[in-house]
Amino acid sequence: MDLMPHLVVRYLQLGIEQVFDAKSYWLCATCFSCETQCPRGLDVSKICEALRTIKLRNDLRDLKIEKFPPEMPQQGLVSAFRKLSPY
Amino acid sequence: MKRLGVFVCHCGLNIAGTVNVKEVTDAAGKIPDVVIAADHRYLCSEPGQALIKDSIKQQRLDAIVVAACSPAMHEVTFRNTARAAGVNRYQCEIANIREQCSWVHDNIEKATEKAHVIIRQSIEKVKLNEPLDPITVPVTRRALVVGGGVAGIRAALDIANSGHQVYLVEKTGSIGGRMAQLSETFPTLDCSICILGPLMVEAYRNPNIRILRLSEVEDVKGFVGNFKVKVRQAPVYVDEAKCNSCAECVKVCPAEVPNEFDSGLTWRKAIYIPFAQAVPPAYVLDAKTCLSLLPQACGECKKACDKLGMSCINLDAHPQTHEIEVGAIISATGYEMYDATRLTEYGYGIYPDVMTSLEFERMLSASGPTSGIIRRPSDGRIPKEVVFIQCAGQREPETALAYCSKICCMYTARHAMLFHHKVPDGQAYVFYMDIRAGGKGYEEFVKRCQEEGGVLYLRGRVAKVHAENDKLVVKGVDTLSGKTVQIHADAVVLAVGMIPSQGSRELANTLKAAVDENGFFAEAHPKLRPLESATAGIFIAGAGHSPKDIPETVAQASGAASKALILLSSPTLEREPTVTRIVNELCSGCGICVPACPFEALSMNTERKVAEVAEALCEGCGTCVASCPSGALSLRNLTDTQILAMIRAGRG
Amino acid sequence: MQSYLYFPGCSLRTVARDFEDSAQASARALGLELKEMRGWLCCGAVFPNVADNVMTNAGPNRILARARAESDTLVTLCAGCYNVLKRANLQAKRNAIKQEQINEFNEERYEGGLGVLHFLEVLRDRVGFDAIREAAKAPLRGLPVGTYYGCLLLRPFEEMKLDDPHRPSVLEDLMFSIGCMSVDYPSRTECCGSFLGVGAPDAMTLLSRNVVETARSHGAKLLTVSCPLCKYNLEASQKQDPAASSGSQPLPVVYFTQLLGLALGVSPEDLRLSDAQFRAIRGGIKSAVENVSRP
Repeated sequence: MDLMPHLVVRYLQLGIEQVFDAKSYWLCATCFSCETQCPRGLDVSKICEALRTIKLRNDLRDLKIEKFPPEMPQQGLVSAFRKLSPY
Repeated sequence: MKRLGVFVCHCGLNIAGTVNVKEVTDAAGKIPDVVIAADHRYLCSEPGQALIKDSIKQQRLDAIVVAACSPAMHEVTFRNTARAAGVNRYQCEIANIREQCSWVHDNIEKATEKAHVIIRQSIEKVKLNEPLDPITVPVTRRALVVGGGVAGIRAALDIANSGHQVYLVEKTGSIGGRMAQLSETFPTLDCSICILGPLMVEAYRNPNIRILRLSEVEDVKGFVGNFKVKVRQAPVYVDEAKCNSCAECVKVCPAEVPNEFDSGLTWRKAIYIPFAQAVPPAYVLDAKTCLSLLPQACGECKKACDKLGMSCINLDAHPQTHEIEVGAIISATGYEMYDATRLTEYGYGIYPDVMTSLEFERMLSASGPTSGIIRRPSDGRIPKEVVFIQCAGQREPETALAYCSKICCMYTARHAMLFHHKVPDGQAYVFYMDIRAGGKGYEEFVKRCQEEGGVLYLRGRVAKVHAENDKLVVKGVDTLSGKTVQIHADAVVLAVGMIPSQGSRELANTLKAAVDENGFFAEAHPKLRPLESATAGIFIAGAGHSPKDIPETVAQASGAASKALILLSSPTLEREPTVTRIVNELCSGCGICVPACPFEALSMNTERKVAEVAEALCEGCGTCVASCPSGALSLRNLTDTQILAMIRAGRG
Repeated sequence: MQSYLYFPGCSLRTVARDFEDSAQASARALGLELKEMRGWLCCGAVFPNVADNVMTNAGPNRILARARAESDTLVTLCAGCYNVLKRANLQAKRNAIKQEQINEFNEERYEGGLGVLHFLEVLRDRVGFDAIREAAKAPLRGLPVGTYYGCLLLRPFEEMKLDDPHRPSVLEDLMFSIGCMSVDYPSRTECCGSFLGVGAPDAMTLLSRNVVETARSHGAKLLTVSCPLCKYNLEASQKQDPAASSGSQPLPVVYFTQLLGLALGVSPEDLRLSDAQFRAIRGGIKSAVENVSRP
């Protein structure tokens, strides 16, 4: 994880645009562990999804997969394409 | 016709910024009977008051309207100004054009229009005001202190040493409270019970203090200066005068429960002494645990005591109700710890080696469950790696307590250092968000602890504690280095929050004092009146008001005592005369008003078959006035005629 | 026979037939009927977390509207579908403006009144674990099972409210009622990697292996789940790097309804348990019994 969740938030608070260069928000699986624990009720998974969405809408690129994982339930495929495409 | 004066305050820009004061003053001056209308930047100041006094004298005014801030702020001030100039206090009306006008609106035109209305209404009211004199009531020059912790003890001693009698009511079997449970106190590392003990004994020996242990306040009637309190004392099975703490009864008692004083880490018998230095120095029989009461199945303790010829134990004792009369009441009910089982991520209650700070405190204490040796509750081994978690369940508005308990940073530093003193080859870790060390000598103390204790401070929170074999794995983060941290600890100590003692809300209800959303006693004003509740005659001190340390608690206790002493300093007290008046000719004797009164100020005169009001008890709420079908009741200086006149003035 | 309206979801009808079939069989054995709702469609797999994505809500709302036409309760099995439908339902209640947007777009309007339940809630709150214990003719005596919740059953807690998010117990209580011994291991509520297997398979492997290895090191002989994606990830991560498990046998992953059905006397074939899974269960029970018998 290059930029830890609290640093993603901190960069946003300070308006540091390099936050978009981080890799960590692409790895967010929206598991909501952060939101459950945060004493102030911040939802970092929502923030990461927002960051991804902003980047994807700006770049207008779709998720490109070389090789599909064999026999993965469609649940995973649909989730991946929806999370990692510009909706 | 009364000659009226209207004085309008700018209050700097507080009023003048939103209300056109000049316009309002001019308009007031044109109202019939208003002889003079003047404005001033700060009416409450000396020159402002001088303006009022001079105007009263020069214009021979009979009554005045002061258009300014809320009466809660300065009604007394301006009434006294009027009196100083020879006008009856109750011929002074306050028109609130600040809190009810300039401070809640931003449209200047509309706010000014509203200010016109408010002033016209006050003018109509004051025209019909009668001159009144305050009601004088005698003051019971005794005090009641609820709660026998260090706050209650200090307050009781101060009042007693000023020559007044004081009752000190304590729920448990001994005074001392939380401070008696502590091992050392920061920042001096004084042995806690060593400095508290002499105060406890002093309170016990002071002829002006009567300690009622095992007691709770059941009912409070009356009003400031004249409270009638019912204190219910649980059955005192062990005679405090006869008991010499020989402990023979304990040896034969078969019933055991977790010891509250040791936070549940040890056991005690049903007959027990709360702690070694208990005051009063007598044993206590816990009725809930005892097997001897109704039916008297056991009775071993009594047999043992009688055999020695002591006969201290009476198993037939009954609860007693003490009816006492006091003039002032101080609430010093203290705190307890937040329930750590609700913090499921830390595993308290599941893993025995996860403990609260109070449990660790007991363990540090020489009189504690392990005689001051730190041991893991699970296997008794001495822990080498101990993790302290600050802000446990606090500063978490979304998941637990929203507030900060103020003392945890300090006692955790002390805990970490003392742990190292006792286990020199051990390592203490403290997970913190901030270090709050604002008191005198506190910052220096934390630094000392960090250095002497070789403590590793990690800035971040702990996500989870789980057990692995016989260790506790603590997963947290150090945001300063940006690294996640995993510690295989032998024990974990949670600095949980301070919450008001159980029973605080019920006591507040009984005292008719307010509590805030967290259950702490609410002060009349957070800045200027921190020791008084909004209810006259009820004062507050200590952690029952908000989390605080011992120096602040003691200071507040002395402060509350001095407030109480102001009350008790005079044999009489003045009460507002704007109370109910009964016109006997109109009273039909229906009696509807009597139960309507929340203060029990009304009664029926059975001979004359009319209602009577005890003016000293009347708070002027007007409930009885509204209930009376004949219109026999009215409030002095707030009659229906006045109200109707005010409504008409409002319509313009 | 108590009947509940039921939403299968896509994966259960295709690659996860074992989940649905075992659930139907268990339900029958408990005297319940899971009646498939009319006109169901894909729930969309995810609930949108960005405020302006309303499109992704269209599908779930159609499901809710159609289900509401038949019943006031809808039962789900897949944790993903449960999460989406429950949150969509809550949003319908809380956000009138968005709901109106969705309703205007869809042909069917959803105006509320439906309760979305997970099958575990039916088992816990309506059937009751005591009744299940009595009905379990063939309890899985002491089988050390690692219950795995994953994320979507429990979180976001404020919306899901199925159980305590840090230390849930509904799966453990169910397992206990059918004779299993649940192993206490810390990663039972930690993410398996979800959809990361598609774009970032290494991350998924890392997360899933963490779950599998901690469960194994705490004594679990198999894992039980409520989500086809969790099952897939937990199995796939083990195939990817067998060396990580230091040569141990792969830890089988079964659906909780398969264990439930087995304890209720349903045949392994009807539960679609593979030979390997069934052997692992038998082996797990055997070793548990032996451990107890040994002095």
